[in-house]
Amino acid sequence: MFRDNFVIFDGAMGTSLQKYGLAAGELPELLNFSHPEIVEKIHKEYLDAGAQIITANTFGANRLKLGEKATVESVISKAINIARNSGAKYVALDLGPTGQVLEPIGTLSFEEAYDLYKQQVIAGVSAGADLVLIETMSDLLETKAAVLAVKENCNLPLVCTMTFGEDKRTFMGTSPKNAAITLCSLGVDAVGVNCSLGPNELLDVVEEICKFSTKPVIVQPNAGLPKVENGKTIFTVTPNDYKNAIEKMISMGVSIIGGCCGTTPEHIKAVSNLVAGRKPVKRAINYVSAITSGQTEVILTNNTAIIGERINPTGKPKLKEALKNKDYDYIISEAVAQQNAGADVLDVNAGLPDINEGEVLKEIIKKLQAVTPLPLQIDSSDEKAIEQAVRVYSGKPIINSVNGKKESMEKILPLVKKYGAAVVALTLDENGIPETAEGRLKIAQKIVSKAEEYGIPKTDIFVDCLVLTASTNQQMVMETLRAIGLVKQNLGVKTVLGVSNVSFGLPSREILNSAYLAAAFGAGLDMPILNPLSEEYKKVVLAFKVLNNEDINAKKFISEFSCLNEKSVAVQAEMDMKQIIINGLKSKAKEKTLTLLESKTPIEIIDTEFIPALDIVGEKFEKGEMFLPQLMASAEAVKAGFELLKGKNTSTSKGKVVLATVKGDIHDIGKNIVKMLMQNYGYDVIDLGKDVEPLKVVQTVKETGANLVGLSALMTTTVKSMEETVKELKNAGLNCKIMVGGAVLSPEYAKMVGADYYAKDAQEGVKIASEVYNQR
Amino acid sequence: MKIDKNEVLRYLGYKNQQISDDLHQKIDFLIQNAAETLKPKAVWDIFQPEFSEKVILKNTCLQFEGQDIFNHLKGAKKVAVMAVTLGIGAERAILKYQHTDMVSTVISDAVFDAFIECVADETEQQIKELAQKEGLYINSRYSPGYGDFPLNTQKMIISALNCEKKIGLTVTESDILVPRKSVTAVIGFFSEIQNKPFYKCLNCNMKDKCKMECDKNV
Repeated sequence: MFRDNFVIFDGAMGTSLQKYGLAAGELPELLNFSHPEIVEKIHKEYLDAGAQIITANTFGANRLKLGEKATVESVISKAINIARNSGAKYVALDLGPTGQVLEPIGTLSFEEAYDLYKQQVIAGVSAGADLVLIETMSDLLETKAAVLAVKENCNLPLVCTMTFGEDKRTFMGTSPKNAAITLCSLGVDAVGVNCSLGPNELLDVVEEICKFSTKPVIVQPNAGLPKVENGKTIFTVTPNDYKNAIEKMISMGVSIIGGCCGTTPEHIKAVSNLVAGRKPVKRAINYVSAITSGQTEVILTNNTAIIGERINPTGKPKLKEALKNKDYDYIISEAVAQQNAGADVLDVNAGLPDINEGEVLKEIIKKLQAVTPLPLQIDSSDEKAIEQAVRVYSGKPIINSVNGKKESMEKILPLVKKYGAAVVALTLDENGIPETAEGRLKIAQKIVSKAEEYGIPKTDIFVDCLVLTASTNQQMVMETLRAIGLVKQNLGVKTVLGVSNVSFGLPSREILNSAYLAAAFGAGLDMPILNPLSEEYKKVVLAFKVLNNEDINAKKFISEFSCLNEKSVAVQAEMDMKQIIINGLKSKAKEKTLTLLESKTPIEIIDTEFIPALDIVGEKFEKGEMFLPQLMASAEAVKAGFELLKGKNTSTSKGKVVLATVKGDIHDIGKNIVKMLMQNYGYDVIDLGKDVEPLKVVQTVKETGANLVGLSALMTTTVKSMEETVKELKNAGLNCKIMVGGAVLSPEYAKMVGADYYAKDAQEGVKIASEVYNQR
Repeated sequence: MKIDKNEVLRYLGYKNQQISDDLHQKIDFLIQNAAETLKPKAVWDIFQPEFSEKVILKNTCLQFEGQDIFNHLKGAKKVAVMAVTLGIGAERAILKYQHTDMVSTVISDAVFDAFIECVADETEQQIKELAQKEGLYINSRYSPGYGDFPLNTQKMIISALNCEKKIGLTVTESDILVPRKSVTAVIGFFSEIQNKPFYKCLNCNMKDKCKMECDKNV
């Protein structure tokens, strides 16, 4: 349908309806019922102007937006019928954004977004739509939910556009090239841009999409930026100007053209006349090795990319414990640390025997992609876990890994294709790891051709030539580097390598690792998997980026190393723990804790050092001698010390406290302050996060046996769910006390919702906890 | 747009405590970072009011309930409705800091509150200039949640201004704006100069609990 000819879409519906008196804020989809003749008239005008595809008036027809006003099915079937009646040969089911921001920033889950779209797709198919248009998207993850809903529930052609602002990004931060790379990999049939700006302001965006799209490119610009004149919104780009800008886009390779806000049948007519009798410009299709997140892309041409390996429980007891306890803070802090140390991609592995790997991996991906812009590499040997995780990932991930075994290829490659991922291909098969470079090349070759059968381009295969440790396989270490060279030369693929394996079982591993990394870079390695926090690695990476002409003018290298000598440590008088905590000195608190551990037990440190200091801090805060950031700095200092007490094999817990920001509410800073202070005082806090279902609180209290629950709500509208949560807790007959807090609450209000305690601030929360746990 | 450090400190509940150099630096850094990285956006439009038992804006879905907004707009020739947001970047920053650094979390929260007020002030200024051109005078901006102006007005404002498409601003089922560092407000245009003083804090439903220095005792 889109390959060899120009295709003309229609122009604006919303702004056209406004001309006929659609009130601001009214749902345009309801006009399908109240004024079908107007909707049909607009369709007809576009058809007469030369549009080949008519977009049904279903943009916002999801059950969240329609609410009680109409059913999704009735709106969509009516809209498609109107479009059909107008005489259109092809009718597109139109899917816009859900109207909600996805969690964790908003409250809509990926799964709910998928279900909203699924309902629309099923309704569209049964009403007889000929294709689907997903448009005006700004969130790549929401777009993915829509794309999957279309592809899993019908076989119709799928066109997908996103909307970019003056900064050439969507509201959620996705760039045009990212959109092109990610959506083409996901298997849409055409990709492009709509709405946004006027056609002239969009030229750069369109050029970028044309450069990276492997599919036909669609544009549907606005008729310029809207201006308000005499209280009326007007669009200033005339049909002739519109046509001239579109001509430039055609020369870039655009082949599908329509219009968005402010465009009229005259604009469409001008464009339709423009392409009459012509064929689209043949565009050079460039497959590139690239991976993306919702906010960034890593494109490998002649550059290297560092994959951070630290989120992997193997040999890391703290991470193991964090995974078991679903302590995502620890995992997120590992991610942020690696990002700050210069990682370009993060490997994520949650492989532990006694956890539900798929569920945990999915949760981690959801949380990580909200806090780090780095693309993720999903690392698991369980294909079900991989699928759960890649499904909710916003960009184009790397799957780690497939290997040359038939079973592995048959399980993993379909996932790579379906979710538009790249994949690490290990050069091993049923016979193990070949000793020679040639043997490994052969396996790589096998995987690449098998992948091609599935429609996966070789640019999406990152071959791992595997290195064994020099302590047991010394003679094979350099063979791996030879394999890297062979694989790159013969297959033209990118390579990846877990470098640190080389030193396993040997002392001073960092020295071996960094020497091997330098050699591997020399052999052509594109993506080392390593610990970015290692100083030795960092030096090699920074140096190689200069030598490889990546760090232009050695800018980064110079900034990193020229000021090294200036970092001097100020000598300060010895302080005791109390002073350290009151002054909020994090690193000093760590040092002091280590010293104290020589003479005191963890519980003694908490009771005789931390808590007395925290009490002073609390009192100073109460009296106004300290203010909020200072209170937090003290709490951070204690937290840093506390970290060192963990894993000392002695219980430090004063009791369990379940905390949650109630359903519907997403203001959780206050709750997190309470959490931190509680932990500082030695309570074991189970933090359920924000927007928490009442029953989840009940279930957690049951499972943990906690004697105290803290609930927070900031809005008058969400106090209702607080009341409901309290009711559910009481109904369940649980023997726990409930404290509540939050901006809109008061002692009276707390009583009204049925809580046992009202905590006006975090300090008060700690007092309540000590009351609850001392009474028992 | 300049974010006033004193405002940030006021939001943080500052009352002349001794601040270390480190903390000063941190606050300065977070202010600068917000100013450089966030992309605030604004949208507004002017409508004709109709006064019955509530305020109805003609040719829109907007219907304002509550005595306070009625009094605020009574006699207005026109009504401006505005929405401003700091965008998703502010949300992401808070989310990241919450897991790694609570000091930066609470400071950023205050920086963003001060910032979004600046953005709202600037938009209000543009609206004021428009009113002046027409020989009209504006009163102060009034937001859902003040007095008895219902919070569920947010949903109407978001759709009437097409906020989702124009500035990327949405509202949840519980009437929470997402991104959260956002403000919607309503301003009246009058033929007489409006010199009735308006104390934001005096009209705030949180005034009895709030610890900030403010105008509630005026």
